[in-house]
Amino acid sequence: MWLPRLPTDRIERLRPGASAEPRATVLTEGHRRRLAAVNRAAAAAGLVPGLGLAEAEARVPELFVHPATPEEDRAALRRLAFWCGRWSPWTAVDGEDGLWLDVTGAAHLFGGEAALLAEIAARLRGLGFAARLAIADTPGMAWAFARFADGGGKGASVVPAGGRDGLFALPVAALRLAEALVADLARLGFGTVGDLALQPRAALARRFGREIGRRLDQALGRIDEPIDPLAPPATLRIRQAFAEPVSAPEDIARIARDLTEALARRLGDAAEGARRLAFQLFRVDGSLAEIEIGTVRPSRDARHLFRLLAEKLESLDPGFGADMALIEARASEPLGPAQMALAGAGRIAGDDGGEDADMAALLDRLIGRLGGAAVARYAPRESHIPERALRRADPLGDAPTGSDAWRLDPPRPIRLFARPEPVEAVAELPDGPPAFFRWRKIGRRVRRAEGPERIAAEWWREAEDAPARDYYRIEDDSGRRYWLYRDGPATPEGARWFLHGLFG
Amino acid sequence: MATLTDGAGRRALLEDLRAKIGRIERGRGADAGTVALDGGGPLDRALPWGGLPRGALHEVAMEGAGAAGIGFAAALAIRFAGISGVVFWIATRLGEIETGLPYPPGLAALGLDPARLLHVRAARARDALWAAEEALRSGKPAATLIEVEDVDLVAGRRLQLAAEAGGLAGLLLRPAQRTEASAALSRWQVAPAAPAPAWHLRLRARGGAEREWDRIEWDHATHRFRVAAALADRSDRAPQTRRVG
Repeated sequence: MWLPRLPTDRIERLRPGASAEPRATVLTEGHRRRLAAVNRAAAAAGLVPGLGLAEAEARVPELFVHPATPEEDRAALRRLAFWCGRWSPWTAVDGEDGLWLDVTGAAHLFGGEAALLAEIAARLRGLGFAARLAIADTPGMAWAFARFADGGGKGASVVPAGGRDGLFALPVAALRLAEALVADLARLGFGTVGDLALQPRAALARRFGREIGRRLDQALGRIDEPIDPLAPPATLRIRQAFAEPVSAPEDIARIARDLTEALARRLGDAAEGARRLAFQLFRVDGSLAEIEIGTVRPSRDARHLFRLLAEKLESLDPGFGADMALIEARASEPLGPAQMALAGAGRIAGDDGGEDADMAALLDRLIGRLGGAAVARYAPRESHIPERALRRADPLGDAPTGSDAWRLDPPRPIRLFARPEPVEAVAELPDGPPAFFRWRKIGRRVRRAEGPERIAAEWWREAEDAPARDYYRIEDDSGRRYWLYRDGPATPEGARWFLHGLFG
Repeated sequence: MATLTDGAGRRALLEDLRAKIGRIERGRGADAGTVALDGGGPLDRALPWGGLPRGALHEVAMEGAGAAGIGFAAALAIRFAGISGVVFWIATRLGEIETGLPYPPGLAALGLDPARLLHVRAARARDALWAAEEALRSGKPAATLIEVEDVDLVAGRRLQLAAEAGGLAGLLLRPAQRTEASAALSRWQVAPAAPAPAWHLRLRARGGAEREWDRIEWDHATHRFRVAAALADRSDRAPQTRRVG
């Protein structure tokens, strides 16, 4: 797809009637201001990109000038590429003014290649974009025909691809060669692609390098040229188009539910469950809105999947309305019918010790709304450092269980402060526990203390001179119990004491 | 149906009404079963329900900045979880900066297997309450500990209803200073009683019953409570009767 006037088209979309007047976007380079893009009316008046602004205004005094915004143009092109996902998931941006769409095997869904092209052209026209489309067996050939066939730049929106002979009739520039090379070839009398194709390859390579040969082979399909899609390809997609644009939340919810159920059926046929699902709305203004959900275990339970989607549906903005909705499974795993029932051992269980689909569903909902980092399960880790003695484990998987896994001695508090809080303490030198300490502005008298338990820094992790901590289990005179430590040996100036945890 | 003018009929009607109100006061959750705290011993016998009911919201007030209330609540969770139940611990990030995180090694020492503990940490109180409701309603975790500040009466009522719907226990941890009305079935005031793990407990049940214990111990080997000191005088009084006029 080639959108030759993307910058001015974008401007004109927003201003009805604007295309009648000559317009151009202007790029400032140093002191010079040149035209970057011109609309049809300006081109008809003889203006071309690259012309200096002063001269352009002299020639066409009624010219409307807009600053060029290449970043926004690029972003708009990307958005359009995503929006083209309604026809095929394999879309990509080509340079500054083109789009690739790989419709291999999908054209029949839209009534054949010709019908597909006609529909795309019509939609783009409706959106206000001038475009020339061509469909061919290789990207190289499609590019060539879209840009150079039929005199290039004027005429019909859909360009019939003419196969090899058609390609050979196109000018040399249709091979995606550098401008300088094209100029050289022209000087030497090579006018069309066919002229080049007839030359022996070795001679061309000696004189001009291998690029010509490579581009020829790509266009003719001798070398593979895969398109790098913008969006991750999905395994299953189901789309639904509407005669009238939809924007009411209830309608969108109903559509999402219907599509989810259809997807669940297809997943069942394939004996798979979805791990990641996306729901997309294609808006009438040529943009795309989407939400994505993930699950902890593969699922094809339509009710559960829809519930996860429903959480995020509010954030979908239909804009002026959507004329197509699409659901796709972005990641899926095998899920046989037997696995839907309870199976497995050593996991977070219901009452019967089996893997619990309901628990997985609950976790999916919690993670969906709060984020994966919010839900944690802990397993022990070999470390003396208290805050490092544990690590996160899979919420649903196997985890070390029972008292063998966790060291229960020496006693540990049931609350730990992620950042130990400094306390003021009065303690006997040199190694005694505190007799009195102040924490959060309240003074507490110590009735009993146990310790010290010395926990040294792990020398292989921290600097050599990180001090060891002496931990004490402290009970104050109201019975509350604390876990305090002294950072380093006691010195005559006083040591630093911290509260690290609380016992219940 | 007896008529209201008939003497025996009126008595029967009053009995019926009293029974209904008694059930309401005890809480519908009583139908989900109760869990024994000390195996049917003196503690259970002193409770109005014969044990602590599932399917209900119980409130534990934490006294001061200590962790005594948390330890007691964790022990209750262990009782509810039994051999294979799962425990959810739902808190807010801000709350954890204030009072610390649940620390699995310490909880393991109490008897709560960290492999059966799921720690849910939400950014805002609203999300934490949502998560608590989802968990309770799902009927999956045997006990859900909820550490959220500012649970007002409406939110508390929602949690109670969710617990009833799921048939499982919710344990709401609250700072002791908040004494406003609550929808919980039981409200516990906890203070530490040395040597640990043991607590001084005061219970106020919905319906008016009040109990107090000087010292209840927790046996982390058998995962049971134990009454160590005689019940305080208050419990020897009969439960308050309410007149239905």
